[in-house]
Amino acid sequence: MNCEVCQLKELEVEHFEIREVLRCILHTIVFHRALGLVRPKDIDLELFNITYVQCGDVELEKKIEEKIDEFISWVEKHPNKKSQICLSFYEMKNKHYSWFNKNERLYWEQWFVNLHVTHPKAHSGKSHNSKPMVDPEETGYEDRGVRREALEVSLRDVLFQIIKFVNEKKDHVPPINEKAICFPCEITIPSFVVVDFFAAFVQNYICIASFLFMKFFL
Amino acid sequence: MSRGLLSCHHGNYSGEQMVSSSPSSSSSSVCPRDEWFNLALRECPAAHENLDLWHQSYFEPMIVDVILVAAPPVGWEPERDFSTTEQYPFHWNSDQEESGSEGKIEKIVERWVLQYEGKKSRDSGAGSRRFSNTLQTFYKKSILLMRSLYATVRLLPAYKIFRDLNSSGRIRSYTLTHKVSSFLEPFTCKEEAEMQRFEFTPVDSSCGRLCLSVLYCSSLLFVSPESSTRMFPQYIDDYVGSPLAEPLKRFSSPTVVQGSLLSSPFSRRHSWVYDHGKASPPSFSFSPSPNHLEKHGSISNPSSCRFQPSSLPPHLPDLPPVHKKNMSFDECYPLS
Repeated sequence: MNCEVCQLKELEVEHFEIREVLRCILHTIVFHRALGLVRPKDIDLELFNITYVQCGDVELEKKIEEKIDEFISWVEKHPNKKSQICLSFYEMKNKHYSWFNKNERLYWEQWFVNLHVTHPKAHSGKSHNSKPMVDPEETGYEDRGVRREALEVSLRDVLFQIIKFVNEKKDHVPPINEKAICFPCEITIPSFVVVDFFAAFVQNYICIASFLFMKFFL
Repeated sequence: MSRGLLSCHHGNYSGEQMVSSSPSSSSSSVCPRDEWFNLALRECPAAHENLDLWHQSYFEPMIVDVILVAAPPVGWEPERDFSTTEQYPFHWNSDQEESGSEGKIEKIVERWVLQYEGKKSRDSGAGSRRFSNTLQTFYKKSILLMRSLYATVRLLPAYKIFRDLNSSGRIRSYTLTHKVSSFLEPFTCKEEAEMQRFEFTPVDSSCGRLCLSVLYCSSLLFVSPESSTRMFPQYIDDYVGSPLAEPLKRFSSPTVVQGSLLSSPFSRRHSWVYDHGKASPPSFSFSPSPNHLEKHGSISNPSSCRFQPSSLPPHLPDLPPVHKKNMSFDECYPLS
């Protein structure tokens, strides 16, 4: 089975916008992958004139909020950096080896949410120009308004990008499990990517070493 | 599928309070169609109207038009519509005029086209198991389509108007309605130029394929009171207590004697006291430029655009509606 990958358009956001933007994007993706019986919930963003849809599953909402909290903590330690959050959907497959079984995750879809978290430019009251200066607060307010509108347009583009991807690629989606609301998924944030890779490497190393030991010494 | 499409829409645009039913309740109170495509939507009676044609023939296209109906602005004349369409983006519906209905302006803001295209040759020799797998795949893809449809409806500009109509208790000069038909009334070139198209990927079945697309107005700024049109201050010259509001009331000017105000029970000057005791409004220094007026137009909702005070009867501007955030079905449609 192919693993379809979608790289979403990068968004430039300020710190206080992270939560709303991530909620909107992650819930929109999850809504399209929660193919069990759902009672959709319309959510209006407070910072933008956008309404997105949640699937209404409490566990999923909790999982997404926890990951967003972790991401925000990471951003606070790594300011002004580009970052990527990965939402992956997988199937659990039971692989049979010669003398043991192992459950493995087979990823069939990965979404990469690309964010560039910036800090607002500080407006200085000093001016080298001899001409009377426009109120910096007013200039800053207008700049923020323009930036906010541009971000809203970009966020809407990202949502349409998700919808187009979901529409164009359907064959790789596994059969629906009526007992579950959503396909199993995991959200990976930057600080844990290296740890997860290392953990997977160690686990595989131990498996192979154990197999060789059993084969040659027993 | 057609009921599902209409339910997604009529749930938005019918503006009716619908009786809810919980999908987890006992089977006696839950209609099976509530859970079609694994979407627990409210029962929508309007979605089941006028579907007889499609019960007889699946191959007829279903056209769902979402129509914005607005009262014309003050001073608007239909004869001017064709020459100044930039100012008055709505088109006068001559049928409406002939039918004698009130002078309302209608504009199709969304047009959804749903069509099932049949295949000339069907799969031959398909076993029951293969057919079952095909049906499951078709249903899965239809579920995905419905999810996308549900999300897309909320991203289109007309949804803001829907939310505005439902969230505020104020009476608006515009409303949304819909029309379901099986034939297309073509748009003019100008109308089509204002619209954007979004096509959903067709869903294939063993007998044909299901196609869904939408044409929508990309900008409805002239309607929504939360549009980006800047709010200009408006001078109210007939405020309560002003001479213009009560012209027959005599306003006595205080007599100033050596720096103190006497012969008046009031100890301070009032705003209507001017030189020579005559009440006259202060000069109003702000006025929008004529270019701005032409550019943004005297739109159907006069309260959302500010003009020179002398050109319109003064009235209080509409306050932005307070949206009820994070609305769920339970809040909108309380469980019975």
